[in-house]
Amino acid sequence: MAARGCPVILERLSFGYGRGRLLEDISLSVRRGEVLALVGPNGSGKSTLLRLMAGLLQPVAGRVLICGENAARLSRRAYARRVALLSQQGGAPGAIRVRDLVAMGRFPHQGWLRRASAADRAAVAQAMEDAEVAALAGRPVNTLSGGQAQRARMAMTLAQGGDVLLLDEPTTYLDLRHQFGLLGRARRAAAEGRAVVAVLHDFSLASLYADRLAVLHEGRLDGIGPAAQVLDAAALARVFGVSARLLRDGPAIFPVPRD
Amino acid sequence: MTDPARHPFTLALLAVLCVGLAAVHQSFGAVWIPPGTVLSALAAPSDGFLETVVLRQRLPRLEVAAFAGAALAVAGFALQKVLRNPLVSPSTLGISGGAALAVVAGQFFLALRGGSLLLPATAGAGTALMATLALSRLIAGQGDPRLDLVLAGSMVSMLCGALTTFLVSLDPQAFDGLMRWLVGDIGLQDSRALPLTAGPAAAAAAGLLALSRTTDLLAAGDDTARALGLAAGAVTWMTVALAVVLAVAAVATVGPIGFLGLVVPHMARLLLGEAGPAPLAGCLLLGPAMLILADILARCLMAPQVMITGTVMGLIGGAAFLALLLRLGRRGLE
Repeated sequence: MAARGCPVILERLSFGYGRGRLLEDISLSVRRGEVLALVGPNGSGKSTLLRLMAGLLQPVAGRVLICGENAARLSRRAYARRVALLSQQGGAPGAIRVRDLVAMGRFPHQGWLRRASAADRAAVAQAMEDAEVAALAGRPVNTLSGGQAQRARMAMTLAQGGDVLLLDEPTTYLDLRHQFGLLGRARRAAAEGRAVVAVLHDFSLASLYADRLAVLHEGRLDGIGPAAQVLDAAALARVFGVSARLLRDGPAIFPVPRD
Repeated sequence: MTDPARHPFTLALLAVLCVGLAAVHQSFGAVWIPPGTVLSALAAPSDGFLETVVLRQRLPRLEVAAFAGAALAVAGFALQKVLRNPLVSPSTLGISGGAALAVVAGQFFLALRGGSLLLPATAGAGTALMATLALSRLIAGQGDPRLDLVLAGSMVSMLCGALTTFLVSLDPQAFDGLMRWLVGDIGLQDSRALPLTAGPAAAAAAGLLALSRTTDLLAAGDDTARALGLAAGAVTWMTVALAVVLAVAAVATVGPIGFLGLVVPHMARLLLGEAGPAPLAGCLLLGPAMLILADILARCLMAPQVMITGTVMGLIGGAAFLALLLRLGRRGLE
């Protein structure tokens, strides 16, 4: 597989604590310009897989390649210049303003004294525009609603830049308009040449915004491919243990329970 | 809620408060000394009675109180920020207790005096902190790990305190002086340690100010901080080490003074928020203000008898700590 077009390559990746395995023998790659959705039941290992891609966990077997380099050899800072993560765990220092939170995204591009360059300021302004928080720039983060805070954190992640954008359940807290807005922005990030990986729970959003879906089941890759290929009634029964049929409307797929 | 745009104004007000308290500190006491006399004593030292009181008694006390107040408040703020725990401070983590034990042991066994006590004090503080961290892992149960840490710190503090008083009790001649030191008496000798302790403390405070933007990232959560390229562990440990240097400098100068390092950071955050250098600068001003106030009360409430500043600070700080706990109890630890 050509490393050139694939900023993220996982080779026979396994992860676990002690003897238990949370992820077993996962191989996949994500191309530039592509949005890959990670789907699967709770506890199937989606977030763990994303954290492995972000270099926050070390695999017990196999390896992660980031832009062709062995991830285990990248420094924390070099990693952060290539891979940006919107984590699920919230939190921001109380009274910090949105603009300052977004500016934190530039941390890996700055020296120890952290002087913001013109490029940093431009990236911050653009990211706030893209995540629709420009109007909130002067607001302290702890006065925002859950959805506003999530968009501010998305802006921080966009400001970080890099080749890979990782999103862990990015639509949490967001109303429909902002779910579309955020995933639309993720699509544009892919169109700009980045590789995007998002943990999504919503099949209709995943089928609409992702080029391919990776279905995780009990720590293994159950299938990977376009939504129309990997999502069918048999897969839903096998992976999620539900009896459902799938309604289709254009590219969108909606699971509906069968009674 | 604090508006960052108003922080410079708030800091200026705190600076004025500090200077005002310092002026009161110099003028009030067993003898009233008019501010004009204080200023002329400072400008042109002479050996008149009032001038001597200012230069030999009140000014050294002021220096020591301002120094220890700043050092403990900044140390407490840094610890609370990077450990993300509103109840930690040099005293509640056992750092002060460990330093005090090492100072007393150094005097007792090695006959060390003055500045040479700084090294054993640092070793004692570091050892006590490690013991607290290890113990908190051992007792970790189902509850809030932040409470485990404070419980472990209290146990280590009590153990250090018991050992310290045991050592002190073995030496009847030094008993009185050491006991006064242990409860945070600002005595006439204390300012002699300042030239030695001020350097490391100033360097540590400058380091913490320089790190303040970086440590903001920790509040975004471990995963986010690391994904932003921060060596989260290294920054946390560096910050804790600098806080220990500050706490040891304060203890070696004036003895362990409780509560200040716990309570003042909360006041600073209420006024100046959590992020960036502003609340740290607030601690640099509020800590001295608090201890200078305690020293004014110690010298004035029962004048001409002088009370022990650390015990007055303990009373004020204990009341503030109780209020803080009740408030946290209502809203939950955040």
